Amino acid sequence: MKQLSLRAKRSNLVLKARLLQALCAFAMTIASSVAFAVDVDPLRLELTIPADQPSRSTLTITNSGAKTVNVNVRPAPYRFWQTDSTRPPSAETWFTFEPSGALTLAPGASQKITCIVTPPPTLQKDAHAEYVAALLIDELPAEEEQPSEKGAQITVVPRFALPVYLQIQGRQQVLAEISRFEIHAAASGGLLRADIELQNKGTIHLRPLGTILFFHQTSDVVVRASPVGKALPIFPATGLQIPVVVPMPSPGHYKAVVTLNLGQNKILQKEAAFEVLQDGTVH
Amino acid sequence: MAIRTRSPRPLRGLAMILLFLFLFSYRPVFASVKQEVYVTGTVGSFGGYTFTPAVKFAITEPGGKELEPIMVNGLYNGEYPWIMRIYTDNLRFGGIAGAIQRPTPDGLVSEDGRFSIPIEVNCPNFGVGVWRRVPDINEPNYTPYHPVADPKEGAPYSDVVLLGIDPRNAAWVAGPDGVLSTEDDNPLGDSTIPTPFELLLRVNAPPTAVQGSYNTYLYIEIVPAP
Repeated sequence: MKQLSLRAKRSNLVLKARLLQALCAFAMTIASSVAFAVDVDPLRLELTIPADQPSRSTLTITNSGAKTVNVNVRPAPYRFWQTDSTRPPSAETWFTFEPSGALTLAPGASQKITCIVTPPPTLQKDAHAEYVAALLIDELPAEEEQPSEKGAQITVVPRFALPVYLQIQGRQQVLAEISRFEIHAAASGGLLRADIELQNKGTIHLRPLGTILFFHQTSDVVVRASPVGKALPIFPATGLQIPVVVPMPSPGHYKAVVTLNLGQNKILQKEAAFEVLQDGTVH
Repeated sequence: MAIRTRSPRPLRGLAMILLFLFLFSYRPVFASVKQEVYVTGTVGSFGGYTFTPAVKFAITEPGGKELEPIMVNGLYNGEYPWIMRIYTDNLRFGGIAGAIQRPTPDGLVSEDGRFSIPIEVNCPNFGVGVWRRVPDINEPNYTPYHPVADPKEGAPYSDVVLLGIDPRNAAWVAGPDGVLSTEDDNPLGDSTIPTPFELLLRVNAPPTAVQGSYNTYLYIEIVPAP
C-alpha cells in the first residue's frame, strides 16, 4: 500500500513536471512571438549650457511594442567614430536623471526623462568651449529573461547610443578655413574630383553644408551644380577632407566655386580654375 | 544475453536518491553528460529594427553548435552614417575571485567566472558560412568601427558590424568588385539588407569547459550618425 502511494506520488510528480514543462514551452512560444519596440526622441543632444549652474534637457522614451519593457539610461564616453581621433573633453560624469534608475513602460506608454547636466566647479577655470558624451539607452531584459542560475543564457540587450554635445555659453566661436580646394581627374576615367579641405579653427564643432558650382571660365554660365554632401562634426583643431565627384565636363576652361555654410551666419567660399584637355586630363 | 540483477526495492529507492543527489552536485565535463542550455533574449527596435529571438539549445559535446536563428525585421531610418554592432560586456566577471584572467573574456561566462564559451555570429552580410567571433567590448585589442579610406585596406577594426550605412567607407562603397568608381559602386556605402533576415548565433564549447551556469549580456547597439 505504501509502495502504491509512493508510486502514485511519483507519477503525480512526473505529471506535474510534464505540465510545468509544457507551460514553460508555451511561455517560451509566447515570449518568442512578441516584438519589442522602444523609441527615443531626440536622437542627438546639442546643448548650450552655462558654466556655473545646472541645465536641464528632456528625452522621451516610448514603448511602441506590445509588451511591458524596462529601460535604463546612463552616461558613457563619446563613442562615435570619426576619421580624426581628436575630440573634446568628456562630460560623462556631469549627468543625473529624473526619474533615476530603470523605467518600466507599459505598451504604448511614453516617459519623459529629465537629463540634468551639472558642470563641475573647475569648469569656470577651464578654457574648453565644448564637451562631449554619449547616453546609452538599454532595453533591459524582462524578469523571465534575467540570467538564470541553471543552464546557460545569452541575454540580449538592445542599446542605442545617443551623442551629446555640450557647448559652454560665451565660449562659442565659429571659425574655419578652406585650406585646400583642388580639382583633378578622378582615378577612374570620365569623372572629375574636387577635394575640399576644411580646418576648424573655432572652439566648437562644425557641421558644414555646401555646394560646388562649375562655370565656364569666360561666360560665367553654370555648367554643373553639386551638393558638397553632409559632413559629420568637425571638432576644434581638426580638419576634414571632403571629396566631391562629378561627371567630367567637355574640354575647355572652367572655374569651380565651393560655398560652405558653417552655421551662425558664417559662410566660406573658395574658387579654383582648371582646364579639361582633349585627352581627358585636367590641369 | 545480459543478466541484470535487481536490487531489493528499499535499496533501489535509496540508490535513486543517491543518484539524484549525485546528478545535482557534480558538474562533469561537457563530453560526458547532455546539458540543456537555454538562450533567450529580445532585442527592441530603436526607431526601426525589431528582433524576435527566444532560442534554446542543448550542448551535448565540445565543439560548435548552431542555434536557432533570430529573425530581424524592420528598418532604422535615422541619419546616416550609422552602424549596428554586436558585442558582449563581461566586465562584471572581472571582480569574481579566480575569475577569467584571460585578456579576452568574450562569450558566455560560467557562474564562477572561470570558464567561457565563445559565441559566433553570422549575418547574411558576412556571406554564407562566414562566422565571426562576438568580441567583448572590454578586451584589450577591441577597436571600434571606423571608415576605411581604401577598399584594399580590409577592416582595420574588431567591431562586428551587422548592418550600416557609411558613404565614407571605401570598402562598402566599392561594391562587389572591390574597386572604386566602377559600375557596381554603392555610393551610399549602404551595407543594410532587406528584412526579414536571419541572424545566426552559435557557441563553441571548448573541451576544457565544464557544465554549469553560463551567462552573458549580448549587446546589439545602434551607433547613429554623430
